[in-house]
Amino acid sequence: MKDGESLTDILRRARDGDAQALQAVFDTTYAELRTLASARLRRANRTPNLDTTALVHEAYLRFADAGRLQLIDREHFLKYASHVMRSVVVDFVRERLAQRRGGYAIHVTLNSEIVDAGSAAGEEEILGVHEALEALATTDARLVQVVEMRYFAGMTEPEIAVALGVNERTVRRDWQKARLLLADSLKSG
Amino acid sequence: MKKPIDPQEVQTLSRLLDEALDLPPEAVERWLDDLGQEHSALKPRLRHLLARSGAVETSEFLATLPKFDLAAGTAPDSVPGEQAGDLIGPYRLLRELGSGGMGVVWLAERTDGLINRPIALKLPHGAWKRAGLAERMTRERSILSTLSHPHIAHLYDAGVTPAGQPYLAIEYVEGTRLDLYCSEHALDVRARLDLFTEVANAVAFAHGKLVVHRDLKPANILVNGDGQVRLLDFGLAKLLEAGEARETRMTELSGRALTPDYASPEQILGEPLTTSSDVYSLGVVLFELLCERRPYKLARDSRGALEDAILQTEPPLPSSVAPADRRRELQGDLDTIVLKALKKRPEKRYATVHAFADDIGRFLRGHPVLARPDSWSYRASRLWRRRKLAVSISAAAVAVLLGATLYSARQAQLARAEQKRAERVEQFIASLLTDTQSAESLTAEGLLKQARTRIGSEFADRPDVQVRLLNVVSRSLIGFSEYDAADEAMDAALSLSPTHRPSRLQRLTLHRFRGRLVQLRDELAELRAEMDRGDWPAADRVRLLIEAAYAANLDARDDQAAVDIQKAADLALLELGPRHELTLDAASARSAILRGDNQFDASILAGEQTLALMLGAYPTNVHHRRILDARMALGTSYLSKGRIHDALRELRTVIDHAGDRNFLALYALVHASRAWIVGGEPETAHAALLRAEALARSSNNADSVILTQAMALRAYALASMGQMSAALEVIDQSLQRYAQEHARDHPPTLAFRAFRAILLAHLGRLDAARAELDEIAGMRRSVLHWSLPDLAYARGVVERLAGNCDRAVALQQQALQSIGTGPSKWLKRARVLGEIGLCASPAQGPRAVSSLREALALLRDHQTADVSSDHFTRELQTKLASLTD
Repeated sequence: MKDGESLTDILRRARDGDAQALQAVFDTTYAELRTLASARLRRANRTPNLDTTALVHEAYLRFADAGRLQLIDREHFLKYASHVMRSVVVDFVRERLAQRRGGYAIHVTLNSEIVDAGSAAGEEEILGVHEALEALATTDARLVQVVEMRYFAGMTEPEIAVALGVNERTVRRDWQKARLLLADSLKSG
Repeated sequence: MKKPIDPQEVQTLSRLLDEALDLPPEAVERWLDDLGQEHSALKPRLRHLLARSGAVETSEFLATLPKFDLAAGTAPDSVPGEQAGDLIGPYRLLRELGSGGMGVVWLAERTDGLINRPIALKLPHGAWKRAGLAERMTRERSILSTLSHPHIAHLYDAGVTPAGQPYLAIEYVEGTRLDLYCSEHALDVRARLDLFTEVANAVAFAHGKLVVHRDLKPANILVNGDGQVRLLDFGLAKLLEAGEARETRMTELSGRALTPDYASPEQILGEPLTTSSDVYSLGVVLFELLCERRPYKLARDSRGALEDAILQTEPPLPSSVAPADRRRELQGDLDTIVLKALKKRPEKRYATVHAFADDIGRFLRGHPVLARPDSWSYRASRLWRRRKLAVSISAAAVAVLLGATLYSARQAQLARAEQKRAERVEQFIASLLTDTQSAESLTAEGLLKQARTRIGSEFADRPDVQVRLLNVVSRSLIGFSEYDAADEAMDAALSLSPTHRPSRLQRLTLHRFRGRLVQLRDELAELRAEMDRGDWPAADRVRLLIEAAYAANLDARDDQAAVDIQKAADLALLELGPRHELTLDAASARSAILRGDNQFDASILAGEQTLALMLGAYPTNVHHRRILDARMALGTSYLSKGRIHDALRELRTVIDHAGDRNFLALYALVHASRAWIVGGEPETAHAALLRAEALARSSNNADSVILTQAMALRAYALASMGQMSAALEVIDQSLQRYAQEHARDHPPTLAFRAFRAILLAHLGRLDAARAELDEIAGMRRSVLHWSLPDLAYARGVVERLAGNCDRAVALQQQALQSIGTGPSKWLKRARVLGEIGLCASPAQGPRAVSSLREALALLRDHQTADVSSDHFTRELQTKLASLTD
């Protein structure tokens, strides 16, 4: 990121197709979301659960608060943040898996209940969706965005419609199709 | 098992689903039957999916992100655990001292030996890679590092490693927590009060600089082996909190880093905090010291219950809950004092920590205490009503400026009237920081301007206070380059008191900054006559002599300037001591004046002395602005003298630690680029200049002169990288800007045009190059005399590139003669000698070889990189190799 450039400027460049800007938005947002997520998890001694919707909105507020974003960019930012949230979540899951395989036995036993119940399936689903989206990315970018916003960031259909500049019907249709495709690729053999 | 994903297949499915989902349900079966042969493999899957489409749509499938376990393993931020021996910025970790809500603390040492004492290095977590943290740390660091007090652990340094790990380097204090110390030593009430008073005085000192602690608790107050208290973590809560604030409000309060036991009601409510919050926390600490328990005993042991109690429950009388043998002693005055500090409403508490400590002092001396609500309420409630916004960082910066003068006034044990005045001024500053009506006042400049407008009304009855405050405000405004406002404040001061000497002296500075030379000379002469007649204090004499020296320097009366500045420097050192601000002012003025006069050796000597003085004056803050200023001045002196390595050492330090002081960074970058270009690192120079240009463009007071210079230098860097056409483009841009700012025969402009001609010649545009040089040669001789060697050199280069070798050699010989020798001429000599060598035909072999060798030796002596990537140097090396083969 260039010195003194606001996130708003970079978002604008990213929207115009500047790859470097896109990377910069990603890096900044990733760091922010990751920090928020970690902070949340560190203090949660109840069942760790990531409210990604709140995180994405919170990240937006933080940027806006720091004067690095203008309010009009909200929808635009949420679109990117959803994409980034996907990476944050997927990275968490991957680290989680790697650690479970590696030498973190103590942690595993401390949390054995959660680890062994349900969550393994959840992790599987997340990685499955992620891989399916990668396969889709080249042909149907909008579909991928809809899934990122809906599934990874928990945005509502009206919110997604505004962010993508399409009508709600289109979003609903995309989501329907995406779920069918994902159901297909997540189904066991 | 999941089936492997075939992107091709997914794409086809996606396209077919688009078709199918548009159809009415009853037509789907028909559509499937009609699907072409090529899709026969997908047909069963499609049929299956479409049959389920209704079910998928209404099911919970993918409706939410599944819950998954993240806490294990990934917790604390995935920051790799530090180990002894690891390097964090300039620090090496020795052993872990502990960890807590805020982060991990290590015992560490500084690797470059700048600080020789052991250091407690705090590595806050959660702040990892937080946006804007680095800037905030730099800003706050400069404020906190001014808190130099024997009972406050010093903050040496704060920064963020390139990897994004923030760190805080704090004086390492060995000691026992205040509460444990008291019980271990079974201290009686008076001893406890004595210790507490020390704590309160340290807090009051920080408040005088308007730094609020925000997290006072026994764990942050240590008592060392000598029984001396030491306060830790001053202002750190704020430093780490800014990014957290939003999060805190949005989620539950229970996640906060601050200990609620000592939190004030306004802290619990998330309201803006001022010094009053520290009064409350100190009240809790005192309660605990006296009663061996905290004010609130809770039925339910939960955070929520505690917060409710802090907000609503009246604390018990200390004497009613203290150990039995103490109760008698606490009854009465001590009960009143403690409870006054613990009032829910800030305006009911002691207005300042100072007042709190004073009252304890009265109790200890057996005098009646003042703790009666009414005596303070009027002033305090006025303050509270205005308290709308948090004390901002810039507010604290102003406070430092204003506070310093006031604190010293108080320390001097002034007469009662003076004391009263100081108190009023203190109140005024406090109200400035809380009474913020507009966004503008959140900046330091805004606050100062606001202060300026309010001084008249708040101190209508005390013109003497007005004049003093206006002076401080004006001086601070000069520091922010707000000259109009500074002038205005100065005029106001002088209209109140036309003979007030400090104001008159300060106006001289303003005249100088604003280029009002006639007024400067007149008023200077007048003051000088007064000084010679009267018995002035040393500080005023020094101030006047400094201004006189600058004025003489402006008028090119160099001898007079040298005499005056020497006198000022000697007088200051003798009468005011090495740490006095004016001593430092005089020293830096002296090296600047000598440098302006091209007395490089003397200037270097003066610069080194100045730096030594600065380092002595700010022993614990090696990156103090004045130290960096001195390094910059010294660096440029070294550079003029060809001492490239020394220059870069100083300039690099400035660049690395300039932080958000953009102007400092900007100038250091430009000067260092000169060193890098001649040192054979044009790429480094180029990158630095791009950064400098960005800084120059982004700064509020866009400094167009330095921007133009940076561009011209960048053209040199590009040429040294062999990129002649890019260089030409940049020098043209720079020259365009020069043309707007200077006359046609402005000497540097001519030098840059000669350089432009060389670039043209390199690009094969020989006629254009010659035309450019002819035009320069047509200028007045008086302008040209100093650049004659440059002109001959440029002509020589053009002729060499045109293939006229004899002519080229003759021109370079001519240049060589007019350059002369001396360490500051090395670069020109190297260039000219190199050109002579490059021109040589094989027949002139031996002579050319010696020229080339001499040129290369000069370049190598000043080289900063192991291998020079300078285009010209490379050319010389190639030529030399071809001649000696």
